[in-house]
Amino acid sequence: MQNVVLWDKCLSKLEDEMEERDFHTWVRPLRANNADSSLVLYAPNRFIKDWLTDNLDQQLKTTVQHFAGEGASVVISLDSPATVQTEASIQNIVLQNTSNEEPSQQSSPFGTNVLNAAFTFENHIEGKSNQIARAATKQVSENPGAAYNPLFIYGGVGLGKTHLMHAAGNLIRQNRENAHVAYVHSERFVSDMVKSIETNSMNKFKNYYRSLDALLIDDIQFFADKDKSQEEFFHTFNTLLETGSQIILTSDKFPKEINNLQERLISRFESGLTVRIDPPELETRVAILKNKARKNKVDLNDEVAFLVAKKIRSNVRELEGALHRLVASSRFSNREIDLDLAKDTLQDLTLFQERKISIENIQKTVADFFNIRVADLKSKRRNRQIARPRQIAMALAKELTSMSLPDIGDAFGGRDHTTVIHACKKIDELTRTDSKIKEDYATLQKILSV
Amino acid sequence: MSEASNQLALALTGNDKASFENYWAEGSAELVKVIKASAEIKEPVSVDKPRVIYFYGNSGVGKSHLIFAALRHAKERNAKTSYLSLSDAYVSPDMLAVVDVHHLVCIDDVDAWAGSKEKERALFTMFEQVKHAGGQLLISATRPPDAAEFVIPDLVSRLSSGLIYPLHELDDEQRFEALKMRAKARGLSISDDSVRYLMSRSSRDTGELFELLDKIDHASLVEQRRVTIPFLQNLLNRD
Repeated sequence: MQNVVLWDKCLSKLEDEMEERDFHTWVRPLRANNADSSLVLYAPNRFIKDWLTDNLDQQLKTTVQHFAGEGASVVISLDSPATVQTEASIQNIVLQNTSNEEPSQQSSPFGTNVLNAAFTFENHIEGKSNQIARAATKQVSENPGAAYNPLFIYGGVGLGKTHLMHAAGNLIRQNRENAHVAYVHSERFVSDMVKSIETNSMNKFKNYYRSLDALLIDDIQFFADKDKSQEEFFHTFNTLLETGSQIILTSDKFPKEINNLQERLISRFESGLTVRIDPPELETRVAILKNKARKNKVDLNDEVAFLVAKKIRSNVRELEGALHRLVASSRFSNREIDLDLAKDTLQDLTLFQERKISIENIQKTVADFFNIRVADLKSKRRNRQIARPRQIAMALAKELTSMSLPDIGDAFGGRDHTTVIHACKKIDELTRTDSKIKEDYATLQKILSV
Repeated sequence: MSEASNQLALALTGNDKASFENYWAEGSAELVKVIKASAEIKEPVSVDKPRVIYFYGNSGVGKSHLIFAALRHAKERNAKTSYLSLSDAYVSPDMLAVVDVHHLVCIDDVDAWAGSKEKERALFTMFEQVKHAGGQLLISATRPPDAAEFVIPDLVSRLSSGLIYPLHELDDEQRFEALKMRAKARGLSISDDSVRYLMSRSSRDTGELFELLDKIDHASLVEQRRVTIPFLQNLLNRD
């Protein structure tokens, strides 16, 4: 019996006999091959090989002998890296040919420090929340090493820091074709360094990173606690600055707020320009959604875009997720993307968020923010220091929960629903005329939406 | 009956492995279609398409069933897959690091790793690798990404960028239909009254009910008896 056919039979029998979880984890990834009188099973990694040897050796042998006779034997071996590598390389080639990503790649001894050509300034949506960061990044890209060095961009997750970084790299490369630009995630920098130490090629690592025209490192906060990497990065950083190369860094926090980062690195990070990206405001979220929809050749009208952008507030990746869900729902249910479909879909996505933003949560957050007690919000007191926060809390409850107006009134000491309507109108008016109220309200929205 | 005669060849009872056909899809038909489509993809996924299908629900709603159905569906089409259950004690961050990220990677119980920075970093790194390789992730969890108590926000935002679906508990009527469908798939003849009897006297967890159905099927085969209410009464009293 040919070994591959034999293994197919064994697979079916093992699938019936084993727990599905064990079968798919440990047996399914095996590759079978010919050997004189035995079936050689190649495990893709040592974890699978070790587990099979410890736990399934006998069962494998029994199964093979069931089909091939008692003389048959089984050998479990580790698949050669060359085989795995070749398969991966073939798929990489396919990827580069079929993907829309069009990575603009330069040779690197450390994997692929790829710039994503899809991220440019042209398709970056500008809004109040990111305009300073965008302007600074563009300026730096037009005059690398001269304007602000390093440029440190920080802000919450999914707000477009990586987009700006790639856009900068692409523009630098566009202006100087042979510019040596590397984009690397900080985790990758660390793992490259560890590999270099293991393979005694630290000099190669240093030479590569220290000879760049621009080094773009994403999510620098992952350097925290990694002293050796920080040490190496410090020296790389200094060399690049001395030679006039541009450095752009991103992080989720302001440099000083990154825990367990060496003081000297923090002070280097702050020596250039530090800019912040805030969560996008409603209009920008709508523009981002419409832009992404256009890219995906999806027809998204303003009504739907506004509905999604109002519900999904925290970051761009979640907006992207909501758009993907809308497209999938439309495709698989043969429905147009209209308000009804959007409402149904968003119900799934905001199910947990709405449960999380409870009226109690809003009351406590507002009370803490204005330094009053929750009991004050529910009390009959009508002085401005209490009444204004109460109105804000009511408006937030209307906006962020699906509670009815009478229920909201009830939660504030049994008030009538007309009081809630009045509160919402008042806050709507004040957020347009009073900048302090506008700022407070926006801050509370952000706190509650995180 | 002796203990020895209680034993049957396992192959006889293992004929209802997870598939899309034996999954009660009412209420989650769209998710099933999305997962099915993902298991049929052989080419790298383009950058604009979602990388992650993330579905969540309580124990017993059929999360693992859907993952195994996807793996089976992919296997039948010769598509390559990887599978890891993060609640499996053998699975470590090192193991995640060597997963082949070029095709469909199925991760069961992802939130079993929530709260551990080291493990979450391994997940984050894998996500990035899958993204660059054009692979796709099929992930199950008990809660949505933003409620799963992950400590690395970057991981949460990446998991949130894909298709997220809740899986709801079946109500009694749906559970009744699902049990009947499951019994039929096993070739087990069981009357509506017997199914109702079973539901009123055992766990309301669908997964546990299915396990009980396996036991009943096995006992009925071993004892060569039809599944009747007295038979079930006797069997349940034994436990």
